[in-house]
Amino acid sequence: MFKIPTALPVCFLVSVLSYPSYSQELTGADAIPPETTQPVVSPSLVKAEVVGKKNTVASEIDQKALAPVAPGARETASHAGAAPSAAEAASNTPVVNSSETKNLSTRQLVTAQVEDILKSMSRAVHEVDYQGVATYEYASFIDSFKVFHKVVDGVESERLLQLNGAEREVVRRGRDLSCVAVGDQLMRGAALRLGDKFLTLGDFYRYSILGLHRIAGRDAAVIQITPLDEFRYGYLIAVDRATYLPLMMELLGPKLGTQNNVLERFQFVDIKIGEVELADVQAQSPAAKIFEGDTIKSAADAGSQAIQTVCAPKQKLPERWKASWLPAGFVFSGQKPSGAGGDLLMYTDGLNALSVFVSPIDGGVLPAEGQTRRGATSVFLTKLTLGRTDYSVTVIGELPAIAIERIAQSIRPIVR
Amino acid sequence: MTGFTSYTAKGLSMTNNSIDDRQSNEQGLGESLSAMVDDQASELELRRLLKQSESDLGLHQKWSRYHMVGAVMRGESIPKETNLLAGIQTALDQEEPLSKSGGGFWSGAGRFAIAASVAGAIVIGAQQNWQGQIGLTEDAQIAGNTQAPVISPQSIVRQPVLNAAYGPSAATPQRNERRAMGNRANPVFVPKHSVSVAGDKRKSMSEEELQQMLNTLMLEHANNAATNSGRGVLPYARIPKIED
Repeated sequence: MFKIPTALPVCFLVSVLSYPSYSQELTGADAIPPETTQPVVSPSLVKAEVVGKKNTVASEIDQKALAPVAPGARETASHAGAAPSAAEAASNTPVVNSSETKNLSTRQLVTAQVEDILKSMSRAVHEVDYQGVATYEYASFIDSFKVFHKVVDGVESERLLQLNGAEREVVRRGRDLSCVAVGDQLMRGAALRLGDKFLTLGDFYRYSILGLHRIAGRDAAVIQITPLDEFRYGYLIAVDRATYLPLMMELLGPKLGTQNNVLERFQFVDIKIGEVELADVQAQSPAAKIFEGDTIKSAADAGSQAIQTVCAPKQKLPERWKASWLPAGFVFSGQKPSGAGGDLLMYTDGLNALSVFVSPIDGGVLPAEGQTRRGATSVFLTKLTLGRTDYSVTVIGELPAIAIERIAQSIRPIVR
Repeated sequence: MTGFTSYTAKGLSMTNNSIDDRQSNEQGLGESLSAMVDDQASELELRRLLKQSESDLGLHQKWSRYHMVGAVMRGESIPKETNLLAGIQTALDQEEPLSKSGGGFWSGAGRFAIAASVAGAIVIGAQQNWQGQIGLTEDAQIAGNTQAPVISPQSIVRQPVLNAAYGPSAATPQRNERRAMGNRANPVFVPKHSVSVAGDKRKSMSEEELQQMLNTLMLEHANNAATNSGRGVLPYARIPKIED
């Protein structure tokens, strides 16, 4: 048994984003707090926080178990045995009277370990060069993709190429590594201030470590992230022990009996670290879609233009519309014009992204209303009438339909 | 080690069982059974299968295994209670007779409504552990009477019932969601209002326009998710179709 530190650092709040409390449950437009307390996001603060907190707790139990090996020794470290750790066993033990305090500490220990894993994972997906073949499954369908990711001079480029069915190619490029999106900040431990409380991602989910698994021929630590409310899904993530890349990610609906209810699954079949050529992350087909910051264009239009380096949308405040209800922990992460007309508002809780589209409907056409769903993605369309204009409100996200509908019904204009 | 490992182990062992079963001499029934699990069996096949299984314990057990394999392959979990046959027989017995819905287009829809309602029974059986009882027959009746607009023949096959009364309190959102996953390239859209408001002269968006709009928005959502949910380029795999 590993020893349990007596004084655990309970929370790590070096970086505090002072978000307004609108992500708490609110019922109507009246309850919306002033917009003046919007976040001032400082990537440098978050970085300082990441460095400061590194492995303060996890290092205590690294030897035994499942945490991916400590940063710095990533590629060379030998792998620990496959035995499940005491931490895992303890995490599944219900709290009993006599050992209440002890179990609480163990939970904190597991939480700290998973926090470390998520933090490293959120960096790895941006910083590591890799190429591989991945599958995406939902319902009874499976699609396969080639995926390439390369960092050149601190700027990311990645390409996804569908291998089955219709040819489909997506290139995403131009993100500077120093530009940390709100979602990544939350995943790296940034806290939200709700009233006098400071909350992190771990306050909205319960973390467990399930053990070691083998994916794409590599050792992975499997963590489970279970939501504490019914407004979001859970995750099962297999994180590569050498690089911290997510090798498999399942979105889990409410359990069916004791079994996991897998809504969708990404999984690498094969992955190589490094060895990515520049050409691998460049569009091959003229029909390829290129995402560069706020713009989406086809490869034919982009031609040989230089890659523009872009950061998150500069917009820190929603401009014209806001969601007056969001599941706790969701924060505004930007706004931009939608290609379909109107505005796109973006929200995230660190693990899930949420998109809200609001666009005026021209005279002749009725706004569509209803719902649809594909895999883990739910869509809800509704109408908002303001004066004589009808607006179409569409909410898309990997959240349960009940949450997506509630958010859609809560969209209100901002009155200045 | 709970959850993850046992899930994988079960999936593997059941796949092996099903391969053995296919080599048995009851191949015809086995195929129907397999088709039923994949929601493709005709109503006649279903009745034949159910009748036969009453007297055939082997077939009964095989059905349970097939269903579990199907569930595993679809990424659903395995129902604890695998004796679902009784529930399906009840659902069939309670269906409105086909002749009631008359000839023409809707009779076809009615037929598919039965198949869909049976498929629903399988799924619901799996969900009862946490959701409680859900009615099985109301959809088929609605399908016979509704004036809801026909979106496309394809969507009727997978989505015979347009849910005109959808709301958070409706008892069936889970089932609708499951069916809505059926159509791959274009998710089935469940409209909230099937008829436009009286006096409103505007025309509804066509199904095609709607699908195109949703695909465009999903592309933008994927871009948002790639930035804000910590998993790189993978969210683009969710886009059903790239519009030009």
